[in-house]
Amino acid sequence: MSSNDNSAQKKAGSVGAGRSFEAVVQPVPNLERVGTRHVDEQLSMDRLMGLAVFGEKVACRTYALMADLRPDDASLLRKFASMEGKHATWFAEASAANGFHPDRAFADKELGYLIAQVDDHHRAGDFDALAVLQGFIVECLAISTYAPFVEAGRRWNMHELFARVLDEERYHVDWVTRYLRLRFFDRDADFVALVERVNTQGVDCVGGTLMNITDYLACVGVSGADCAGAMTDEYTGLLERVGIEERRAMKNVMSLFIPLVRKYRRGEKTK
Amino acid sequence: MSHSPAAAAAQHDELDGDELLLWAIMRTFEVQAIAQYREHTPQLAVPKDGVGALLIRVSGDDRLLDGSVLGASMKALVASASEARHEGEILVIQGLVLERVRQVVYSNLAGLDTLSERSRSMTAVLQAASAATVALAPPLFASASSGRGQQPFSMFAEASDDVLHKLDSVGEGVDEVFGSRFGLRFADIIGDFVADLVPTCGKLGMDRRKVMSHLAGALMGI
Repeated sequence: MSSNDNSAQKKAGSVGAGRSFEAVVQPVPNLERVGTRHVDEQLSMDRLMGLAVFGEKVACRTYALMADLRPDDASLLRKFASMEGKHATWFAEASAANGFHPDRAFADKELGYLIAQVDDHHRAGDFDALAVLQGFIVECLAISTYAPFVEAGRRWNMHELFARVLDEERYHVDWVTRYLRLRFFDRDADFVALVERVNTQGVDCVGGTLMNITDYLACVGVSGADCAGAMTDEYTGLLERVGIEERRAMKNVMSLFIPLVRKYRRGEKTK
Repeated sequence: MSHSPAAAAAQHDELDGDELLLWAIMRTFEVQAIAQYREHTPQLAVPKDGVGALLIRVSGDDRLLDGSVLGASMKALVASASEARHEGEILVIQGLVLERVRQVVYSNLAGLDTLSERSRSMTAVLQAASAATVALAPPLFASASSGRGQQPFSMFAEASDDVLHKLDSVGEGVDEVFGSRFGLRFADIIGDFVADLVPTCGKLGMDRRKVMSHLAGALMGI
């Protein structure tokens, strides 16, 4: 157990009616969720900001790897990498200003599966798979979870930071969308095959992270259901913009989400 | 009507235990839906003419269902659907949600060559009846929503929350019982269901993101 876990347990003892934090988030019978009102806010923000800080660092690395694979767009992709790196720095500074301690151990556990996929695609020289994984799936998670903090972040004076980062993530998504539209112009079947290949692990991984942070989001007043709805809607919309018909896009995304939802309801971690 | 339940039932090859359990489940839901349609939305009962009798002939009691791992969760889902008290709730719970799930199940079964001839024949009848009912429900829902002075999304979300929650609870049992035998995977059924439902909700004037969030929340149980 990490030091953060230990401190969280101590803190939870004072807010959770005698129950430790870990006890609060343990699965309970009959598929019912434990109310999250007693979950420790400090721990929640430590973990959410940990994912933000270290997730942005992973995004920085991913765009840099994408630049390696596509010399024509390397300059722009390195700029994207630099933007993601700055996001990580800004989130770390905002965390420090508010007394949050980004939980690296938690983030590493969430991000390890993603990094492995990125490395596999990079090793295979598969730029298109990286574009879908980073530019669509990961960015959709970022957008769907950052957006509510444009309002919810006011209490920590982080709302402007989230708004700016959100804008920049949308810029990245716009570029990736244009790239994929051109690349797969009149090749819808090839794009469907690419997406279905990347989604199997990508949605499982990134959607799984969303399930794993749902209770922390709830603790700070952000609905995990709204984030999940936003993420699936956003991603489905992007797939439609590139050329996949709505029904097919939605079916593929939802079929991969449902097993994650079931794990969430059972109180199981997805990774 | 273009189909003939009696003709479908006339096929007399043997059904195995999994098929009998499947039809016991479908009979439970169809009989409930038909009764609710007859009482509150008679237009939706019309395509279902003969469906209840057909299923009762095949599987008339609950013994198989009660003895299966699906018994409790299916009964909980039926109980949730029985809470529908007026036309608007019937149109949401049955017309938009459960009827669509049944249609997806029948569509998936229709493509299986591991089903007996009798089950295949029944599936065709049930699928046609379900598809006709699903097509009738949205305009009726629109007019019920307007008649009640309630926004479509609000009416949909309020009425469907518990039944969606209970629906997800049957997933594990469905995979366990029907996964290997029929290749039915609950995640695929829900994927199809959502892919059909969300555009329909959009045509009814509901915001897609709100619908997706509601579905996510109900399925996640939050």
